[in-house]
Amino acid sequence: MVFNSFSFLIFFPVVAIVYYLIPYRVRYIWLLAASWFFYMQWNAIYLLLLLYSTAVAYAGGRLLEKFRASGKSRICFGVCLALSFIPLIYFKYTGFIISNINNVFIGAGSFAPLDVPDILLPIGISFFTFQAAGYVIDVYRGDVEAERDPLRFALFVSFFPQLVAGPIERTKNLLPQLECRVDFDHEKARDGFWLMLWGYAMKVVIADRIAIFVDCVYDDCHEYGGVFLIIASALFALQIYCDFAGYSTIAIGAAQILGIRLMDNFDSPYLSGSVSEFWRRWHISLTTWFRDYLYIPLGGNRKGKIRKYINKLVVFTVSGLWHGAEWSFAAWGGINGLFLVAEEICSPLSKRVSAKCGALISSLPVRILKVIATFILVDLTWIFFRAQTMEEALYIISNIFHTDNWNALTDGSIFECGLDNKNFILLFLMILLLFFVDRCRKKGVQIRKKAAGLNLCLRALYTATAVVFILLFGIWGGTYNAEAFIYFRF
Amino acid sequence: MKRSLYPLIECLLVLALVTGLLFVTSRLVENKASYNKYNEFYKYGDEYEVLFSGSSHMMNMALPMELWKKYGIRSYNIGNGAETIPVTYHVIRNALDHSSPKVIVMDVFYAYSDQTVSDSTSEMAHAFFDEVPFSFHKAEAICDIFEDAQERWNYLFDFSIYHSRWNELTKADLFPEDAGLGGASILLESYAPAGTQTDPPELHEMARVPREYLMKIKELCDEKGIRLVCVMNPYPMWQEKRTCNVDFEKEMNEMGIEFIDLRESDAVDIYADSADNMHLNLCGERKINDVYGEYLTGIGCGGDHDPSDEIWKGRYEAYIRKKAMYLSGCDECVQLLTDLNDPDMVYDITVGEDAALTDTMRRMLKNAKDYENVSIATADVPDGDIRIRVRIRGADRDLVDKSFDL
Repeated sequence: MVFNSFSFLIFFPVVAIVYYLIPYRVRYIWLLAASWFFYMQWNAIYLLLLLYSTAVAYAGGRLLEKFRASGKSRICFGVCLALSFIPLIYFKYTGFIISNINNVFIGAGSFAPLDVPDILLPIGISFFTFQAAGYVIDVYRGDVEAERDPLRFALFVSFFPQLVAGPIERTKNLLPQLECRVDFDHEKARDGFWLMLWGYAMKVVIADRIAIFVDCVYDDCHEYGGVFLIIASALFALQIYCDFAGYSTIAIGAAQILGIRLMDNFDSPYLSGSVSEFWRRWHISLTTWFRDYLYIPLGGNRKGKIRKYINKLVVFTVSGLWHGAEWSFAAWGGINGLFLVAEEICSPLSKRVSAKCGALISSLPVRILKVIATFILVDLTWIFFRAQTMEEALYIISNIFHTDNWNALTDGSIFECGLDNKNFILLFLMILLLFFVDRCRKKGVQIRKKAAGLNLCLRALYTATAVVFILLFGIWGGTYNAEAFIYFRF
Repeated sequence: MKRSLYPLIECLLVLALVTGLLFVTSRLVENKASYNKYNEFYKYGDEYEVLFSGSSHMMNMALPMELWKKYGIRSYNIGNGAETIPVTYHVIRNALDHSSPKVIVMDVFYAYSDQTVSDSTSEMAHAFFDEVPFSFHKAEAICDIFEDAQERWNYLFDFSIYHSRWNELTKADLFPEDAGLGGASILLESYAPAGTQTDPPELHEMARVPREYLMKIKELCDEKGIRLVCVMNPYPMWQEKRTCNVDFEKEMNEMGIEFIDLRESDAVDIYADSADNMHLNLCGERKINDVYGEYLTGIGCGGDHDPSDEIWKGRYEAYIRKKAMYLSGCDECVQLLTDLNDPDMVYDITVGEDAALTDTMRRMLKNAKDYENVSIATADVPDGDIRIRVRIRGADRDLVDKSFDL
């Protein structure tokens, strides 16, 4: 069951209504049952994996608390963490590891290649594994106390709005909320519903519309010239943003209707003036997870410059591999790491320039140029992310600047990739709206708050118009594959 | 008013607005084929004494407006392309919720098929289902016909497929018009059959599914006192290959259903009156309509109606305008020749002496020699091989005046 499926549109209101109708004490059990039911819609047997992750983290937390004073806690922590990651490693990386072993030893004469197993990746495994592992680390560090109620803890790991594609919640934020009494708050629920609507608009109106064009070009990239590759790559950057941020926004809105505040996952990333700023605004829950649980334990920036650069490269390469067991993902992460290291190396120079021409650097045209430059750099790395293989990514990069077919923009051939001119116009207007919303957000202006100040009739009209707009202009129905959220495959 | 009621009022208001806006937008973006076909029927359902039902073999055959003009029969053609017998059952059941005919003439071409809906053309059932008002009957019919959940959903809430039409909307979507053909479709095409089978046909038993649904249709008609007449209309492939053959005489006798087999009818010239390998063209349609007209008046239909009825007269004039629109849109000589037996049109045809007429054209012109509305002359045609002038009877200007190079 995905957020943009008909079944979810039945499931969620039922869950929310029952949630507020039943006694407070059993609400979390209801949410847990709903969450497990939600997960079982993909493959019921994989619920065992979720239960395994929950059981390991729960038992680990209790044991760590018990052994906190003794020397056994370190061993216990290591075992718990290893046990937590075993399913993820097995399901996600077995094929990758074996095929690399084959590649390394294939030249060694008598080496018989190992069979690469075709293992179906359970949905959301990377997300709930990291959330559970984060809890174990928090308990080990003594940042939080171990949860005693196993069902409440199970809900922390399985909470359906963020179960399959995040945000990867932190123990300190989510677990205490599951213990609080929540009464229905109409204003918050309406705000949550508006958030969901914006998430749906990002997903089905923008991302899925872009996907038609991008899939057409990328699936047959050898047939298209540089102009098509440029447009498809630029649009893919927006597609992945709207797809993933759209999902996160729906998740945050749905949780808010249930009275639970999830962490923000995106904060106008494409308005960033540098790659490091981009990573502070993109997939915040994962970036901060890696920062807190990998970068800082590796030494962070406390062990000298070289070590800091190495740590950044390691973290970003691992982050790439978290996204997918392919070298192209590792390259995507590694290149982003390199950009960050380059930015660090250049920072004394840029500080000196800023000191001398501060007014110029902070002027609007220069800021716009920085945003565009950042977008281009980030977009180039997305090519590794979208391409099916490393070879395909390199082909696109080497051909993207062969722009001898500019007439594609005027002779109508651009409209032969699945989107006609009216769809392009709609897409352009929606991208402008996206930019406007992100700009408002960056400036601290919340459009939803302004809308909430309208009178009842206008508010209702605003909501109804948004619903019908999404239904009319969204890509759904017919042969549309509602399961195709990009981040589901991670 | 209590402030605590505000959230509830807001929710209800949103729901009402969403419903209203969705209703308007769904009417706007829906495919108008079903509207064009059925709107007239839903408006004037009570008036019809005869309904023609079944697959494209009926949709492209019975011409209700011409039956009214010539025989005074008030009828409507509710047939649809690729309509299987189970779908026909639901079409008839729905139609009987809106009209009370005396006779239903039903084509049974799909009696050879055991499918509830034709695999390759399942989307064609939209032509019927889209305009059926949302009801329990509709949901029941959809669940009966389609097995796939997605397909059921698409038929029940067709907005899910039509919402993407927002970029195709035209003036016709904003102001849709009735097709004006009484539900029929006319084929201005020509086809030359590959030959004629003389061997006696090999007979098969009727499949289980169509038999079951034919019985349901009979029960429904018996219950409402409606005379059910099943027909097999002529189609070229029957003469060519004896396809889709069922031992109708035996099967219909067993079921107690009246049956007329027109496949070998002398009324049509299969070499001049075919539109494609499955259907007759307009000329052939008209010839079979005379067979229907004679039969229906013979069983008491039409006679007691006043052909000068003003409303029907108005509809008939609209029908002539529609035909005129089709004819003026023809850009092939043979298309115009498929309408030579049209009593509303006058044809002046000049054939060049050395014109390279096809066998089909020669046959069409030969068949037209006896028509009082067609004059054929042989003379030089300056701009081509054949010149065709068409005028609406009584009009002083030509509707079409075209010369064709053959």
